[in-house]
Amino acid sequence: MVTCSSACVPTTFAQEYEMVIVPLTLIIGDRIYRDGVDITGSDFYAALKQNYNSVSTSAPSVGDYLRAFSGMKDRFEKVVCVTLAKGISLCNAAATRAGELSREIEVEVFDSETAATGQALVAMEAARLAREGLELKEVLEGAKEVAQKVKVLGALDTLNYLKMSGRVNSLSAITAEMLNIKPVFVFERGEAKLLAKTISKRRALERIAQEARDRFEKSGPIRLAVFHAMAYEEAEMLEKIIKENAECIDSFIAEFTPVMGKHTGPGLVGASFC
Amino acid sequence: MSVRKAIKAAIESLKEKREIINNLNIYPVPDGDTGTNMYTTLLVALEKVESLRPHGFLQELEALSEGSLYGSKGNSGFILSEFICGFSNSLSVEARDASSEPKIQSLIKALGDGSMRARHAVDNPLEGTILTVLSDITDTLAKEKPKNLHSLLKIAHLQACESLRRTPILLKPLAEAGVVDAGGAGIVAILEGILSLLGISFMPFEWKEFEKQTFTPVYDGPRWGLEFSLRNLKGIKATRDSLKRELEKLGDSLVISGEKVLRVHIHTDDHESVLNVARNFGNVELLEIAEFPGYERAEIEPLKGKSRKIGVITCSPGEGLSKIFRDFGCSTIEAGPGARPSTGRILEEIEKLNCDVTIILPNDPDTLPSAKKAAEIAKERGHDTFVIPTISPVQAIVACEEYLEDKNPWDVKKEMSSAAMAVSSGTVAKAVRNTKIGDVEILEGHFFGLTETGVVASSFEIEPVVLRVCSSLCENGNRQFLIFVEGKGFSENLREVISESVKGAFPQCEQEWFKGGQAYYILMIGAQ
Repeated sequence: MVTCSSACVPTTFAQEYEMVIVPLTLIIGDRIYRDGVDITGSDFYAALKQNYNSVSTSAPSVGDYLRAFSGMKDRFEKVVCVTLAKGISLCNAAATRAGELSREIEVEVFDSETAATGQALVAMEAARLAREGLELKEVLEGAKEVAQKVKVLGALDTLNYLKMSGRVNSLSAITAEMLNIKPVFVFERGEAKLLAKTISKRRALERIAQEARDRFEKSGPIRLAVFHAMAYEEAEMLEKIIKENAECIDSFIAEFTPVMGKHTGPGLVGASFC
Repeated sequence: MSVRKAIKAAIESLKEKREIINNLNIYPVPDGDTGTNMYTTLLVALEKVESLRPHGFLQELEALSEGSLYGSKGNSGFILSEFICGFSNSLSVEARDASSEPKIQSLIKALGDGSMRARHAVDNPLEGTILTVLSDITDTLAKEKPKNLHSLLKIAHLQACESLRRTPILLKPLAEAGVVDAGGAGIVAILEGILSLLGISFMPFEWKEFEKQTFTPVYDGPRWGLEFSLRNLKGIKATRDSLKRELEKLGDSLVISGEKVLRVHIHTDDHESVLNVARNFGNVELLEIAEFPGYERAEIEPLKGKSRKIGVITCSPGEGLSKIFRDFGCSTIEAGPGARPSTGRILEEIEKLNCDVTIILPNDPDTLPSAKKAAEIAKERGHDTFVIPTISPVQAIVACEEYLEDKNPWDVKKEMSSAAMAVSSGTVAKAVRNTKIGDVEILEGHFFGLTETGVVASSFEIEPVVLRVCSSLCENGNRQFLIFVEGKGFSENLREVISESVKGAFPQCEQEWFKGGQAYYILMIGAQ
């Protein structure tokens, strides 16, 4: 199993299931950092606040993926690589190219069509199925099922970063400043859309929890993955509220990778579930 | 006697009695504006009649009808406008086949028709209000059958005074507050104005008895805010600059925009002179007039962009609230006591937004009639418009969370409505006189709490009053959120104290605090 650092897969899980995480890169000024390896969240957000334009992010290179794939040739027969949604980054393109070039081991690249811990949920399900010894086809089918079910929701502190990134299409629905409103976004089918406007962060979290509860009532117990950017306490609160209203098979809290954090800014709190 | 002269006389009288009528409040909060509302409703009606050249009796009646409809503000202004419309329409039908002087019988019939129409226009007609005074007058006239205008007016006035005196018997809260019904008092004032115009002697109502209610105004800036359009500018001398020079002497915050049709905005103590000057320059149209005491004039930002699918119009009594509503993408209309939106103003906003579906949140029971009327007219003109009958801005705040541009309009309407109606609301204000309401004794200087059921607490300490209001709001159902909207001048310190207190008493509730900036109501509270 290979996946990119944008997934925020918990380290313990990755180690147990022998997943290789390919880091995206962050560029601050003229220095290059590997996501999840060379830089902490707080340093990143500090730099972002100071000078937005000095910060940029990029997908791993074809070479990065190729190295990850060939590193697995001794222990595994095939590789499944779950990538970040095609619509919002070049991870999938780079991974696909690397897959085509891979001579030493067979590679299947799978577009999770989601982001943040949504991607983790897809990758982790694939890893579980692979560990059970299922065939490649079945692993991919299982991953696809999760990808179609998974929902990612996030509450932002401010819209400034999102607007600067230009990555939300429904921004026309959002008025000039929205100083008093906390928006809740849903990431579905490869793009982020405005789900709700709430009058406070607390109510935004309630709104997210409501979605989780609706899903539980419709389809039974959920796997939950909460994420945050420099807002651990709120993430804990969100996990707690969701668990009060929906039965969770398992759950974890992950720090949102700075690579995506550039577009949301610190203060983001969200959840994905399937 | 012309229609024009009659309205002017009515206006003069209402102008004099305006303050006394405003102060006929049941609750000891100086937010009464019935007098002002009836006054400004007629002012706008008069402008409509004045703008007619030349005048014929039928045209005057029609203009009177239309003008008062558009200018109707507040509950009493609305009822007055419905009465006027019923009266005018009826009289027009009669006058069509006769000479310019309508027969007395036609007048009596028209007054009766007006009273009936006013009664039907109200959802829950209560006795002991302006409706009773109107129907008492018309019943007596039908019975007595006066032979001339002189006796018609005298009988009407006598009956009106008697009915007004009886209103506290019919409506207990009036008796408890030691007042008579404000709307009914307005009718008496109008009749007295017309009687004076015709030089008929009469025994005036005992206004002095109610003068003791007067509240001292807190505000020291110009009293009135006016906005109007000026069309058909007369002659080469009538330029924007010359108008500016004239108006600058009469008030401040003067803004004149437009080219061929000017839109004028001004704050002044002398609105009559402003209108007189304006009339010399051209036709005055779309008059908006509001009275200021204690109310912050909000900056209105026109909603930018093309026409949308769903539009939401919110009525806001404070600048802080307006900002929140604008953040939600709503169009805001200022709406505080004394500065209520007229039917015409709301209608103007609906047409300006030009959305497929428009939703209106009046946020106050006194603004509801104008909102409903505006929606009715808008629908006739092909705009799908709905009113969600919110009685407090806190309901609107919660409702707006459901307002998303790309949702199905019917879903938005349904969800906004459920969200709003699920919020129970109350207020905390400071009493400016002694009174007793039900079992609760309220002293001057007390903080008292009001919910939809009535007064729930009164004390020199604000904390217990807030707690009691919250208790009352949380009685039914599982309440998770308590929303507090701070009025103008609310201190940071006080907020901390109250917040702690509420947290102690209601640990299961999340609190949301907003700076609303509204006058008169120290706190507006909602529970969801």
